[in-house]
Amino acid sequence: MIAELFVFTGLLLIGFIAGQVLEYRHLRSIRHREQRLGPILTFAKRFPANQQHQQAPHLVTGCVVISVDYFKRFVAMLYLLIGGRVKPYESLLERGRREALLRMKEQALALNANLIVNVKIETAAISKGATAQQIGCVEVLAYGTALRDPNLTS
Amino acid sequence: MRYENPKLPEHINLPPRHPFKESLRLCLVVIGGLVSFWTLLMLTTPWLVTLISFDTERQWVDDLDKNFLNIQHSAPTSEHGKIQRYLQYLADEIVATSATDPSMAVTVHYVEQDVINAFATLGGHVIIYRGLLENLPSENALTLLLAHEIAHVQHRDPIIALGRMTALVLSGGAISGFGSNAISQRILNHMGLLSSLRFNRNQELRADEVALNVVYQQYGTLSGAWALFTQLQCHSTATPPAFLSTHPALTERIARATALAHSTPARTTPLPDFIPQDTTNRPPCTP
Repeated sequence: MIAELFVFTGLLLIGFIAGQVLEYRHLRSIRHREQRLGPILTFAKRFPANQQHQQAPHLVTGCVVISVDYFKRFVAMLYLLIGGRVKPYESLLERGRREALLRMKEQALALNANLIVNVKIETAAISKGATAQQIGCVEVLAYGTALRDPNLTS
Repeated sequence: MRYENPKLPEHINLPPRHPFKESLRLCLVVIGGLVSFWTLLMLTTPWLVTLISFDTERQWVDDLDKNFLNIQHSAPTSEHGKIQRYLQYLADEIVATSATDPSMAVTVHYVEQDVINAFATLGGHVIIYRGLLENLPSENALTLLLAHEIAHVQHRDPIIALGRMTALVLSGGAISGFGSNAISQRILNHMGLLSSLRFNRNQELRADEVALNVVYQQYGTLSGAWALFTQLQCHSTATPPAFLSTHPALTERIARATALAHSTPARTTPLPDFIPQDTTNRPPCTP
């Protein structure tokens, strides 16, 4: 019993420290890349405002799978008991969403596109934990149609 | 039209957080809630389970397969049958002596195993093992043992213990989110533990008190009765301090029994000859 408690506390501590460090680094990297890829415009609408584009459209996707750390999972489990905003998962999904959009933009940049239309985002919980209620990893997929509009100045 | 990607404010989706402080507060709220819930559950369970009549409890146990209790059936003429009858006679005397409901019949079962133990379980069944019986020096100690277990039956301690255990398993399952199959499986597993129901300190002390009264009424003395506790202490593998144990520590019980015994005449009633004697070379027990 005491040994189990030590293991549990150790896992919580490792999860907390590693989770915080990784989240901080990831968000810093996201901010930096968002600035770099800012000129690539993204639109939720199906067709661009100016349909006189030169390049053939391409499907671009950005996919990311992020795992939740032990500490966040424990805190989320407590929220499951009492209800309320599951804050640890909010930051997890925010990071996933932004990372997926960035990866999609990277693809568009590689195709020499400067705008993406019909952008959609999907999420899926994969690798569930020991019980069906626990989420192990979350997958975020962003996709859209990449185009090159020579008249677009950005 | 001119389009651009503006830098969006981050504090809306990612508000500043203090995860450690948040989780600490959350833990305190959850632990406080669970402790209050379980305290309420533990306080109300005895009242709820005792709404089930003793007859119903006995009927349930009679419907069960009692193999798990290792109960042996023997011919009345055999040695086992003789001991069984003697134990049942003592139990009936105790039930008649103690001022409780005589309709709460107690059935004693003698099990020929080396286990140094005796226990009361659901339906008024009291199990006593040869291992303990052959280590008892006098009838006084045996009566104390039986009276103690019968007191548990009369106080409905087994069904209260089972009720508490079931309530804990059910609430734990509901909180941790196990499926209904898992919960029923766990309850079934615990039903298999009817032979090892645990009673709390108060239940044990109350049973001790009743048992000592019965011994005093029957023999006019408490002398020799505490030998039961010294035997149990001798063969106990672990003696946790009283505050950590659900049972009052044996030394505490010995002290109580000895104090009472010293105020009564020193005479004991021997056990009949057919009660088996300890043939192993165990070291003698000293109080």
